[in-house]
Amino acid sequence: MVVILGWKSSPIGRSSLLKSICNLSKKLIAESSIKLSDVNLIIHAGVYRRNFRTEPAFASHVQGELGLKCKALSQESEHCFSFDVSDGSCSPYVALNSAKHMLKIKSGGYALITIGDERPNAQSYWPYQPISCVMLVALEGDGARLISTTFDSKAFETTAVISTVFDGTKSANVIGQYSPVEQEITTQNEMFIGETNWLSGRHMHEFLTMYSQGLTKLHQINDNSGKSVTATWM
Amino acid sequence: MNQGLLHSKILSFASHIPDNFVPIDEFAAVGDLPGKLDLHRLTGIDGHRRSNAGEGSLELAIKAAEKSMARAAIKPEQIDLVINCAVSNLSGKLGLHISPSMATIIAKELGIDEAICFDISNACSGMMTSLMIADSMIKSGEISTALIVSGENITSLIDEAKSNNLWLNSKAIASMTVGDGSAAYLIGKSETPNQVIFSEPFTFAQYNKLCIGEASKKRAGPLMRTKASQLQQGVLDNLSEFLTRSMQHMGLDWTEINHVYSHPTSPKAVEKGAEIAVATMGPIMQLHNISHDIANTASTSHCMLLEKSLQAGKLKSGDSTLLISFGSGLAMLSMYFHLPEGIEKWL
Repeated sequence: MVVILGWKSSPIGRSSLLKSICNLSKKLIAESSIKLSDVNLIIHAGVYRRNFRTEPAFASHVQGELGLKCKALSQESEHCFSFDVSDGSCSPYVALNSAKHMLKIKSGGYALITIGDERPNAQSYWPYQPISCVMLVALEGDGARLISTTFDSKAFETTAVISTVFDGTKSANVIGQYSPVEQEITTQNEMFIGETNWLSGRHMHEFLTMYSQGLTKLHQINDNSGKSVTATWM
Repeated sequence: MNQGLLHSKILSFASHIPDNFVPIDEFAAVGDLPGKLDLHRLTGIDGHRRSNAGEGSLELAIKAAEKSMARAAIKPEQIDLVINCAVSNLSGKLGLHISPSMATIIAKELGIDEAICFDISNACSGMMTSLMIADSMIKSGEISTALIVSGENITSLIDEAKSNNLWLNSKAIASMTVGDGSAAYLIGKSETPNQVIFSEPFTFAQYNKLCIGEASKKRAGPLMRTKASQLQQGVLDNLSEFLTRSMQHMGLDWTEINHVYSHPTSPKAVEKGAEIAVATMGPIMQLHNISHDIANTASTSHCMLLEKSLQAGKLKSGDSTLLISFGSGLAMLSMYFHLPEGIEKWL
């Protein structure tokens, strides 16, 4: 079980994803009861990165931009570990589950989970208005408690896979076309289900807003690919 | 479930090493590089393996995964978790896979229907990061068996680098040191403790701009730009403290480790690291610095070396093995494990 001690979200707007995430992270930590140096772990969850960057992990850029424990190793020094996870718009729950395990390994600290996407390049078709969402997470404390998650790949279709293609007319690698899986989504009582064409940050922004108002403790994300995740919160 | 009573072990590992060997003279002859740079002398690399035409990360990953499942006699329905950790995730036509996770596609191809599937991205340290999470999930009782897999289809980086004027773009030269390949590990429950132990994982983000992989702005596929000497120096500057601290954290005696594998950015780089390791920790029982004919295969590199050692008859059931991982970012972590029982019969 992990607990969200605090969270913040904001549309990226004209900012870069990195600036948006780092600004939100600084505000979140400033308003919390912990210091930045208490963060031992950064996990970024998202799909689209500027110019389709594949390495290093985006989370390492967040760590560097925050100036978090960027120092040489000694026998006593404290350090952070940063990496990325992804699984379409189900990515936030992959990050939360990964944090649960990594916080046991890097015990005694807090995790910063950052969620967001940005337009890879101007040549790619981009119908989204991404929202960045950052969450301060621990194994215990006061806040939203993630009780369980269930991932389901049964409806996954390979025709819904998204890849880049090289567009010769634009002379650029761009997001290729795909066929979203048509899903029949049944709304259960009090379960919040976002739209399948939302990106990860929007899903968590909308759910956490509803949760904060006491309107729901059940969340389902249905990805364009047919994959889904259902989460129970307390 | 009581985490204290649950243990894990490596059930099997497997790599697909492509047959097609490309000697260094064919892509980076002395006259091809700025300042008559002798890449072989500088790195110790003789060449790399190149995947078949049309073969991408997915196809490579499937080959390693199927081999690892056969070696461990594990059926698809026994696998609860699939993590893909490739850096490249490129199709044979150089399309970058974006969404959902490549792990989902790999699982579907393998007939793994019920597993949790996701991707982890942590450059060349993605494999160790993924194994660390899978290990924790097994020890917490959440899952029983995990497949950690990667297919690296990255030799197109060489073509991209060569399409540039390398006199003006020296940061592209490190792209010449990569090779294709794939790797898979199966990790599962164990009745014996301490079969798999991880070091503390670190990210030294002060080095996070020294190796960047992203889409080429001129041609299909990716590019990589690296300040190789600065990145290597970042590793070497922290290596002595890392090894000392890791051995203490893992409760290991360095002199009793049978096999050591370091991420092979190049054989020469491993030699430099080994000098520091020996000076800090003492003699290494067996350092497998054998990447000269496969080059740097990113997240698959340790497993590719293990496969080579296996083929050379160097590995025995139960042998203790240490994998030391470095990845751009800069990530550093290690995994210690005992080689699976019956490994001598795998070939």
